[in-house]
Amino acid sequence: MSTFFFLFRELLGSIRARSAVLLSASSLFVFICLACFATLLLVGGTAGDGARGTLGAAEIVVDLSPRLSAETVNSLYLQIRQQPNVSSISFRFAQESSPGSTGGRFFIRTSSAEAMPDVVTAVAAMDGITQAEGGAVAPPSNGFALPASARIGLLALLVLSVALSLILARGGYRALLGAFHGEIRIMRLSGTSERTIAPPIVGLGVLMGLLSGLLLVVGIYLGQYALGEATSGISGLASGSRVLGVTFAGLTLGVLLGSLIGLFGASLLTSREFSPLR
Amino acid sequence: MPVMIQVSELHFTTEDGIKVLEDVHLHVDRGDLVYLVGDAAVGKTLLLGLLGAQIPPQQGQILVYGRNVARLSREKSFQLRRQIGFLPQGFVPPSRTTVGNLTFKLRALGDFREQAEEKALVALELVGLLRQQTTEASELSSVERLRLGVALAICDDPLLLLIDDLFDGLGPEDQEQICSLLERIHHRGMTILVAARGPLPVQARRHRVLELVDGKVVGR
Repeated sequence: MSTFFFLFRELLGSIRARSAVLLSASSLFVFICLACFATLLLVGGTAGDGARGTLGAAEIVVDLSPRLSAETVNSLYLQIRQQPNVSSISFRFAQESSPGSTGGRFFIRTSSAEAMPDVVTAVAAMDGITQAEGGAVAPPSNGFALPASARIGLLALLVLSVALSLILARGGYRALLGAFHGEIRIMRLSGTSERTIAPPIVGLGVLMGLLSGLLLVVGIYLGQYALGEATSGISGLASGSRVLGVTFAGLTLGVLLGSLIGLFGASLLTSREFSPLR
Repeated sequence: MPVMIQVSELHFTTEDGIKVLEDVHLHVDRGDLVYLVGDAAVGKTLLLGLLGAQIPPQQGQILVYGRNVARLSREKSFQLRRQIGFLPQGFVPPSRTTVGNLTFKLRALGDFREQAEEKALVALELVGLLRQQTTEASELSSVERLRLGVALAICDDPLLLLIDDLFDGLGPEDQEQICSLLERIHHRGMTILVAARGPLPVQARRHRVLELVDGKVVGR
């Protein structure tokens, strides 16, 4: 382990202006790739995702009297379900949607928005129903969704940034290993195995990916903090667990991409330039 | 005297189909100092590369310190290389201080810093570069660079020292100096095989001299 850290430090010490610029640019493209990935997952949701469980335009909420017996509720359920233009019906306790309320509620979905007023009228006339209201009760918040063209654009940018980061990393590694080639020759001549020489080179890639991933994590949380209330319109950013999941996935993807870059760099060791006997 | 190098029926053909080594037989005892002379591109570097386990053999047997180079696993081959000091032709040390070059090699091989520094100073003293320990390798003269190369090859106390094209670009005085240095190392019990383009300096001719001609090793 100490040999790994020694060689890793020596490798970092061999970074010159050219390799620094190229490797930094490669890291930047890894970050762009991760940012595209996170945007697709956090902002790319379809409209209404964040309002699941609230009423839509073709939905009716029906308040039931708290004095109704279970049999009566069941009977009302069956009656409403048999109504024309009712596509689905579900029961919830009133406390689930309004704390402090009592009784139960039916949530009815009609086959179309136009059929809703008739269903409301019919249901309101039934015994035991205290209130029946159409879609306006709790209109769904229209979560911000990316149009399909933007999603395709982000996907294209993601692929492009991976390709560019690999190209730049190849140039950066070539410059770096060029400055380190004397040391590589010495190691190979003296019997240092490839298992000792390659890991620090791969490690540098992993570090690049990890830094890009951490930058993404900071970016997401700063974005969430800066946007504040505005994030409620962006379904993904409004959900803490989803943000956590995306940051973890982003960090993992960053490390994976970094490992790929590192392996790409280590593959350059097979070049004749690093052969001990030229 | 135990055998250090035993080569028999060694053949080597390049990718272009050129037969570089043909039926080479070579025997070097432990503690010998042997000079192998031959013209340019005659196969000296190839032979040293094969003996140093840097190039895999194609046909024939190479025993170094009793181990068959052709049958060594990758890991065992690395282990054998650790016991062979190899100074390649036209060696250019990395841009580090003299002692920094040696400690780098030793630390890459797994030595701790203090241990590496101690070994490096011993090697530098042996080759006469102790005073230049903090000098950048790029500021050394050609003969000093050669001394540094020798120090790099011997700093981990190998059993065998292989040096390729030793006298290339050196004047007669420098050649004699380097011969004296090799004799000092040889007196410490190290086996040394030196490849060089002839003619050899007088001091070198006092030792065993082999010649590589038409892919075969000839000489006493």
